[in-house]
Amino acid sequence: MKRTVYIVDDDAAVRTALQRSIQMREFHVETFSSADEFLNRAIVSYPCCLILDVRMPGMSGLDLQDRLSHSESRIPIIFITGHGDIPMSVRTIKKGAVDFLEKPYRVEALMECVDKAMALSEEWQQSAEERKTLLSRYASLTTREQEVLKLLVAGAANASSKDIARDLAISHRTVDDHRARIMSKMQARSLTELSTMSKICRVDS
Amino acid sequence: MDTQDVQESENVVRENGSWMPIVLVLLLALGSYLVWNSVSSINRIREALATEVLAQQNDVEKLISSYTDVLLALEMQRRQPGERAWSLLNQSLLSAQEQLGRMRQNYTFERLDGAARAHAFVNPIIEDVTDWLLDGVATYSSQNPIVLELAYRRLYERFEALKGISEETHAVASELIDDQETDLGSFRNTLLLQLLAFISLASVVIFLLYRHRLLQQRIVLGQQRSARRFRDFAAIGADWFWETDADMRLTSDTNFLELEDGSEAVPSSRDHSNGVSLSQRLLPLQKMRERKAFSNYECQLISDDGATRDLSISAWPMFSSKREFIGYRGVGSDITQRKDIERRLEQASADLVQAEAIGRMKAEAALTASEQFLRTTIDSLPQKILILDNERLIVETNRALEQSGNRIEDSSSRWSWKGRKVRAFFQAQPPMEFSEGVVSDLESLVAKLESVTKGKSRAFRVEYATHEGDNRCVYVMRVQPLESANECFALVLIEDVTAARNLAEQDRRLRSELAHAARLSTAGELASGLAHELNQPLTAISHNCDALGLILQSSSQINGEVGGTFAEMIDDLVKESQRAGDIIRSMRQMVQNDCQEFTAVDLNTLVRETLRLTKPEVRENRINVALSLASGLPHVLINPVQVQQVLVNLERNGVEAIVSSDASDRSLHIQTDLMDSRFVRISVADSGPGFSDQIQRNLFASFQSTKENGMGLGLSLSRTIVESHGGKIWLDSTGQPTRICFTLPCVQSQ
Repeated sequence: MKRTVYIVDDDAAVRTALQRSIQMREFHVETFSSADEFLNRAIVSYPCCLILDVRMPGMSGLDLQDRLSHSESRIPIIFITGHGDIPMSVRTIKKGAVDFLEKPYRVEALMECVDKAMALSEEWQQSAEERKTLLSRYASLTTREQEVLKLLVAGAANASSKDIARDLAISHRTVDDHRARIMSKMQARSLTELSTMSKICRVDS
Repeated sequence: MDTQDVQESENVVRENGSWMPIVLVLLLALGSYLVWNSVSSINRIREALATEVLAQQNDVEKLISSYTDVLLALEMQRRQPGERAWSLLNQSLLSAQEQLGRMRQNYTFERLDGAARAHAFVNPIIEDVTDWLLDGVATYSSQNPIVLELAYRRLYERFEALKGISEETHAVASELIDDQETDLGSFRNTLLLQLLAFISLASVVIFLLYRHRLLQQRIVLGQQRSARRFRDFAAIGADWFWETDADMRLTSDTNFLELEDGSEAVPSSRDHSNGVSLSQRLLPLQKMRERKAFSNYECQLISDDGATRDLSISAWPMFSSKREFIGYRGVGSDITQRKDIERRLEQASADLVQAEAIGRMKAEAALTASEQFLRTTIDSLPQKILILDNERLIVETNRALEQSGNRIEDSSSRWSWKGRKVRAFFQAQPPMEFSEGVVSDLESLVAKLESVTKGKSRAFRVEYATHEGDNRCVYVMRVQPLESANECFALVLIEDVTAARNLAEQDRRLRSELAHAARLSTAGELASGLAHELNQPLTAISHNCDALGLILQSSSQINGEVGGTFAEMIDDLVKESQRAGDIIRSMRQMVQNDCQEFTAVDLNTLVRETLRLTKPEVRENRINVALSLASGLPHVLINPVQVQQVLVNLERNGVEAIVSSDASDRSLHIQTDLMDSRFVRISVADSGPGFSDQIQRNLFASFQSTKENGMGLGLSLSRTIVESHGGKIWLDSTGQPTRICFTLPCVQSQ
């Protein structure tokens, strides 16, 4: 899969120059002149990353970062700026940016960040897929089985079948049956794994 | 009291008037009856008469017609004598007889004159005719035609005569009727006249009666009005009206002397049956004994419950038509309120007089105190005050004035400027240099003061300066005309404004410095904006160079050496654009006073690198640069870019100094050495002319520049940079050449 770099900067010369640099390093590059344009027109393909100018007319880079953090797509962001505002840079890092570079920067430094960002993106992609699989497995559980699962992971490490049976007012043998089926459906090999899986699925929330 | 009389007359009028309509009605009734009666009598008489006459007429007519029948029968007998004619004759004769008999009966009725007259006239005629007729009948029984003819002729004559008689009777009847009519008419007229007379009389009587009643009513109204007027005046005029008889007993009074709760205020015994005597206390007895009128006699009543009321009584005596004294008639008013106010007014006026006396004493005391206060105040003022009269003499001074200036020493400590000539005072002061204004020297000052005291000039103000010892003092003199007790004076106020002026000068200077600083901060903002703007193209350049480099790498067409040169150039391009960015960054940091990053750097390397930057200028101006860099120097912990800036600044300054003085010796000398264990020293010396003493004093101060377009920032910034590193910068003022040194901290080994 081709790795994509999205560039959002209001300065045309900078955009073009960036595009040239990055394309030469075998990335697919798409440029946008404003955050709005990016939101409206960009079709996100993973893995990817976003090089974002902070100060732009209309929606600023920071606002775009906020917007993206609330959306479905998880894109790693590298900020570049003509201003040297330390508090701002701290803020972007805290909000999850990969890095914050001040213009003019060394191109190598930028490319290092891009590589880092791409690795992150691939990682995220992978875990997203994992989550999807787990969720589909969870969906295959019956209602009763889901209840049992919840109790299994919510309780102490040694939640016994007897306790669960009492809570649900069924026999402990039934509970054991449920448990075996849950383990097989979820493809978990231990209770710990099951616990991890359910966390990923956010069963408890 | 009067109301009763009015009432009585009213009643009288009413009573009188009440029978009048009855009389009127009766009269009318009587009159109407009389009239009706008369008229109906007249009518009856007329009718009766008419009937009578008519009846007579009828009878005569009937007789005539029966005679006519007889005639006809006779005629028939004559022409055709026979049974038929004879029976007819008999018949007609019989009917004639009947008629005659009836008439005879009727004409025994002799009620009225006229009828009797007619009766008397007709009767003989009827007798005659009847006789004749009887005769004739006998005659006519013969059947002799000649006799018949004769009889007929005779009968016919008689008939004619009868007709004539009938006509006469007609005429007489008509005459009679006319006469009666006339009588009746005159009777009727008389009646009418009588009636008219009666009506007139009645009207007159009624009219008189009515007028009488109107008069009475008017009298009553007059009485009523007068009573009302009296009442109104009474209500406004006085509270109490009273009348007495000769024994001074109240015969009538308005219920004045009753208090609100109904209790009596007259302390005398009140006996309803006997009438009340006026209390002796209420009356001025002397006057009353003399039977004289008195007015506004004031007296006081004390009622049973202790309340006092003041009354004012006026009265006049009444005498009968026989000049006998019959009593007093008078009025009284309650003057309690007025008396009360009068008493209070007296009290207030007494109080006022007393208060005035006290007030005057207090005012005098206050005036003295205020004078004292004023004197103290004026004496405590730092300004010198004097008052001139119109003869140029000082009449008043304050302490500041007395203590100032060089007055003539006198053994007596009571010496004062009061009473001295004002010119003498001014001459005793150090010489005054007047600034531009209305006064230019002492003479004109004195002249102007005089014109103020004479009322010819208005207030004015002059400024002057004196030299007292080493200091230059500035004074402001304000002169104002003063009027007191119709005389004109001049008030002179002298104020030492030296300190104020100095402050003002300082203020002005600081403000201009501030403005300069503000301009600079704008410059800083400008720089910041500029920096941002510059960063964009630098980034673009950087990337483009990078791309170029990559293309070059991948391009096989460009061979080794050229490619190598290209690569070098691109490298330099990238490095320089990076450098530009660094410079911008550090310059911005400079302006923002951000915290800086320090790194350990070899100073000598830095110095050499810096020289590269200034190489173009140095070469262009043919300046020699000498380096004396100590070896083995420890690294210094610095921000290399900033320190480079300082070096560049110093070097540039040196170059400019040499160029501007066009000195023959054109050299720049840079030295580094270790000052002590903690600091390394660098110095930059140039062979330029150096700084003047004045410039030296403020060399590193902000905004001092010897250059034409200089911001005066270079050295000041340099100092900021050096001091923020913890070092110092100074001018090594030991003669030529001009050398500036600064220190930087060494990296402390851990």
